[in-house]
Amino acid sequence: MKKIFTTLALAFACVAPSFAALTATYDGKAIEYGDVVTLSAEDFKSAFPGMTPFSAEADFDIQTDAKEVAFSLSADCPYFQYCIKQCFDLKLVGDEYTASGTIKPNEVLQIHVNFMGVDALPQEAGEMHIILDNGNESDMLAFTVKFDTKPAGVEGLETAVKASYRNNVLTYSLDAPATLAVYSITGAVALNRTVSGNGSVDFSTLPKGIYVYTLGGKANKVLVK
Amino acid sequence: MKKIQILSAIVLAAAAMGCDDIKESDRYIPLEEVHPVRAVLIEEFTGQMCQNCPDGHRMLESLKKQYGDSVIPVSIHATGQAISGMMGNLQGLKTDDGDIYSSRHKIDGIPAAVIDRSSGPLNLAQWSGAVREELKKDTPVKITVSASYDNVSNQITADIDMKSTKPVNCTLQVWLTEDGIVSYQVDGSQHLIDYVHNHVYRATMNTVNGESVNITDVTTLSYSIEADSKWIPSNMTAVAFVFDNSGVLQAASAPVSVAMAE
Repeated sequence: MKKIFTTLALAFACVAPSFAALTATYDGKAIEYGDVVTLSAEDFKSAFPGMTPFSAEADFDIQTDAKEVAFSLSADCPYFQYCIKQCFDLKLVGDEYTASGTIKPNEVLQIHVNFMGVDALPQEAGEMHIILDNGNESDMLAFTVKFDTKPAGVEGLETAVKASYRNNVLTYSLDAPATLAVYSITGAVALNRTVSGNGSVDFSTLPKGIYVYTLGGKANKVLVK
Repeated sequence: MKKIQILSAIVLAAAAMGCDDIKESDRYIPLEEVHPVRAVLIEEFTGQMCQNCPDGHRMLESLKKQYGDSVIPVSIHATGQAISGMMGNLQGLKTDDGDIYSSRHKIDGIPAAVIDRSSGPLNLAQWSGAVREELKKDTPVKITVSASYDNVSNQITADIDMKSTKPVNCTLQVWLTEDGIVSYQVDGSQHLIDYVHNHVYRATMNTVNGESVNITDVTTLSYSIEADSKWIPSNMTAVAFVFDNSGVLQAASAPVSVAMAE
C-alpha cells in the first residue's frame, strides 16, 4: 500500500504543472524585474522619405506554466497601443492611459508607439508601465517601456536614484527631481508625485497589499503591511 | 508491484475499448450547402496603424471570393489606430462617421466585425461562421440599388427600390464605399505606402442614423450627395441595407456608374 501511494505521488508530481517563474523576453533578451526598455529614435520607422520617423514597436514573449497571464498597462501619453491578436488603444482614466487583460503563455505582447493618431509630433518622451501577473504573487514581473524622440546619439540626463523600502516607508536620495508613481497590482495609480533631494514617503496610508513603484526609470515591488 | 501491473492492464484495456474504428470517409463532416436569399452586411472596423488589420482585409476578400454578391463588406476606419487627414499625398481614411459607428457598436480591439448587426463585435476567427449562419436566414425584404455620378453637377445619386412580402417597419441606411485607394497601411512589421484599400467607408447618403421606412409592397427612395474631391466615383459603390432591432434584414449594393465623356 505504501509503495502504491509513493508511486501515485511520484506520478502526480510528474504531471502536475511546475510553476516556473514568470519570465519575458524582448528581442531575445530576458526582461528582469524593474527593467526599462527604451525605444529610441533609431527604432522609429519612417515610411515617408524626408519625414520625421513616427512609429516603433516592442514585442515581448511571455513564458509561464500558468494557464494565463494577467497584464495591466498604464501610460502617461496617448501614443501607446498594444496588440495580442487584436490591437487596442489605451483608455484615458483620470490622468493615465490604462488597459488590462489576459494573455496565454507564449503569446507575444506587442507594444506600439505611434504618433499618427494625434495632430502633432510630440517633443517629449513617454513611458508605459507593464505589470504581468501569472497568479503567483511572488512571480509578478513589472517593467517599463519608454520612447524617446530625441535624435540618436543625444544622451539624456540620467537621474541618479538611491531608494530603500522598509516598514512601509520609502526613503530616497535623488540628484534631480523625479516622478514617484505607485501602482496596485491591477495597474491602478495609487500615488503619483514629484520628489526631489533626500526624503521619504509613507506607504502605510495605502491599503495593505503588493504595489509596484517607479522612481527615476526603475520599478520595484513592495509590500504594504 | 503485481497489483500495480494488474491496475495498469485494466486501464490500458479500457482505453483500447474506448476507441471506435471510424472509416476515413466518415471522419470529415461536410457543411451543408447554403442557398442564400439575402446579402450579408459585414461592417469591418479597421485602422491604417493597426498591424493585424490586414488579416481582416484578407478575410473579407476570402469571404467575397467564396460568396460573391451575397456578402457586402464595408471597411470602417476608426479608433486611435486610424488616420485622418492627409500624410503628404497619402490619404488618411478615418471619418467622423466611422468613430460614431465604432462607438455605437462598442468596438474595442481591431480588427473586429459586426455581421448583419445580429451580434456584437466579433474577432477574426468568428467572421466566417457568423456569415454562414446569417446566409441561412430567410427575409421578406428585397432591395435593388442603382447609382450614378454626374460629372457636371458633381453629384452621386442612388435609387433604392424595396419590396416586402409583408409590411416591415425598419431603418434604411445608404452608404458610399470606395475600392482601389492606394495609401498607407501597417501590415505586421511592414510599413507600406502602396497598400490597396478596398470597400472603404466614405460617407452616408442619408445621415449617420439612416431613415425610418415602412416597406409595404414597393417603396422607392432616392438620395444624392456631392462627391468629395478625394473620391474617384468610378471606383465607388452604393450600399443600402435595412435593419431593425433584430439586425439587418436585407442588404444590396451597386457600383456607381459614370457616363463616359462624349
